[in-house]
Amino acid sequence: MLVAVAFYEVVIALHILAVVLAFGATFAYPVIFAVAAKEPRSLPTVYRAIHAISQRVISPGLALVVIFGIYLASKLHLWSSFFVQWGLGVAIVIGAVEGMYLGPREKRLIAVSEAEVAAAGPGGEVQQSNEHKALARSVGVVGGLMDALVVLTIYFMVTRTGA
Amino acid sequence: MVVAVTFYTFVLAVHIAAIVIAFGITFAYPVMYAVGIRAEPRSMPGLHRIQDSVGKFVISPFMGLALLAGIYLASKLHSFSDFYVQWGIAVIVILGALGGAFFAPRERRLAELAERDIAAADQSSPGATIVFGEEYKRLRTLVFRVNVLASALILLSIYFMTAQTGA
Repeated sequence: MLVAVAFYEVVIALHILAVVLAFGATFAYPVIFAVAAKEPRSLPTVYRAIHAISQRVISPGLALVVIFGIYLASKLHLWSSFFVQWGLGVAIVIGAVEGMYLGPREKRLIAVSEAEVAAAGPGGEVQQSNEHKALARSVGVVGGLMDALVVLTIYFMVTRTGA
Repeated sequence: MVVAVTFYTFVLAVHIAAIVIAFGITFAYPVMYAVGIRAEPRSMPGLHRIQDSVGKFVISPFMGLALLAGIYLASKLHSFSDFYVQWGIAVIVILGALGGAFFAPRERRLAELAERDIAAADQSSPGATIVFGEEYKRLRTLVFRVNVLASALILLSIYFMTAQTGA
């Protein structure tokens, strides 16, 4: 078994690893929200966890994806290829949406759901407000769009569209 | 811009996307549990049930898809004798077995144990601080360690696949 690996191949592996780390978790969010909705008292913690994953997993993972991607595009002279420009564009869009749209709404969801649990008191039924429902819907829809962008980007990267 | 994609390349994209979807969440579990334990231990039964459902509805089906796509790719390239293909198949089989025979029953048990400890704490003093029992802590540590091992296997497999080790 011959193991001869160029440095850029190691970087490709790291690039893919960073994609798994950064974007994989978000695909499980619909299932997480569906299960958590059956236990409304756990929702504040679930929203806190989602927000922590955004800050401690997705954001650093996204930065690694971009750094490794820049190295690869420079090394292989691929800056003019569509799939590289698309990938960079999507990374910027996802970073901006995470920081400016999803992040603040996740924080608001934590506050709103905590207030609802507190208002219900110990043992009382937790009622979801319209604001909570609207926020959850918008985070779900935008998160789904980001997931679709990730899948489309994986497709463009693998097929090296426009190379 | 010319878009000429073979079916093989399409299946390769499906294979990679399935890996991202199946395994990505497992790397976020430590953060999720750290938040649960610190912010609200009473939510731990719910978090364990979430992990069980994610295993059933996200990890298992997409792992199956990754395996099917991988088998197609290996057949197309006649590369079943390559180390990275054999390793990949073995790891998927191991992870599938771990998911069904190890993680799923233990996640359900963790939810039961957490509920039992919370109920016991509330019985002695309603609203009391939750202190989980030794059985729960031991089982959670075991599940965490096996999850770390599974994550290491996934990382190593991605490396072998990308480098096509042994091809």
